[in-house]
Amino acid sequence: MNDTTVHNGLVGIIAAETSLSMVDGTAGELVIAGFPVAELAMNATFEESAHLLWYGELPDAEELTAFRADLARRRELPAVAYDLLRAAAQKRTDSMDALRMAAGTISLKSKSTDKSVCATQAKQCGTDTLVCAADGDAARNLLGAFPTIVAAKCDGRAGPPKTLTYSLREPRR
Amino acid sequence: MTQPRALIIEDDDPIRMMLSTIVRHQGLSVDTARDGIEAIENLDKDGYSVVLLDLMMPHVDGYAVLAHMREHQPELLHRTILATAVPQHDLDRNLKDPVYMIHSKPFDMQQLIADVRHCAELDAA
Repeated sequence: MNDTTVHNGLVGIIAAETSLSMVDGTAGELVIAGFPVAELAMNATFEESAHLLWYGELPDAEELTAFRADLARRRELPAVAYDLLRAAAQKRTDSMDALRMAAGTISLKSKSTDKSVCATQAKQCGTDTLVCAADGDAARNLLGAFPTIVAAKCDGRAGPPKTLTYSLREPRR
Repeated sequence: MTQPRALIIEDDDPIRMMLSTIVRHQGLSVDTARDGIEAIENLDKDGYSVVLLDLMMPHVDGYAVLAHMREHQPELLHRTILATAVPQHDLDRNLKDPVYMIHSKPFDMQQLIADVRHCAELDAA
């Protein structure tokens, strides 16, 4: 007989450690990067929340403008993505599968023309942030392109909505 | 000039459809196979410029397809691209054949396209 202990269930089991979120089931609290999720939902835009998760802090006005502009530059999809979405519609492919296929066409390589963006990301990269440098650029490519993918999936739209933000409704300030 | 042909062997429907569409966009004609059995039937029937091969598939897996190619069309191994989620340590242990390139999922699509085109060029040369 060996002394292996079997833990039934997940009580006391730590699957991962992160400073990005904290779940207090007893108190009914979900904290994202230091902010209660309800507070974040009411006061932060989608882009501000993404910035918070990626870089560990909410952006100031200038950073937010630059972040939105950078995502907008990444809206365009390769032609093959539109073809895939059309083919998926013809074959009545499951919507999540169609989105997954189109996302697979997005380049994971850097689109940043400004090398300081990558340098800044690398500088900001630490144990408390989710992404940095090349990974950050790939994540921005996906985040920038995904609204176009969804729009194309929904109505066959073939152009990126460059001027729109991610939310129809701005949060209360 | 003959249109280069690709065989895409992948059991996941959306990924197979995605790869087919992307490879067609590069001007290749595309056949598909959903597992190793269909793949071997296609390989025995037709000649291909490039093969995109998944490894983990039902019935007959990608390793068996590679073994079949080694026996019957060894030159095609040099124009075969593995597109797989198999971890590197498993590949190190189980992969016996020198393929052209290994792409891990999620794919770097631009690199995958470049490799498909290069295999087609190798075949045409």
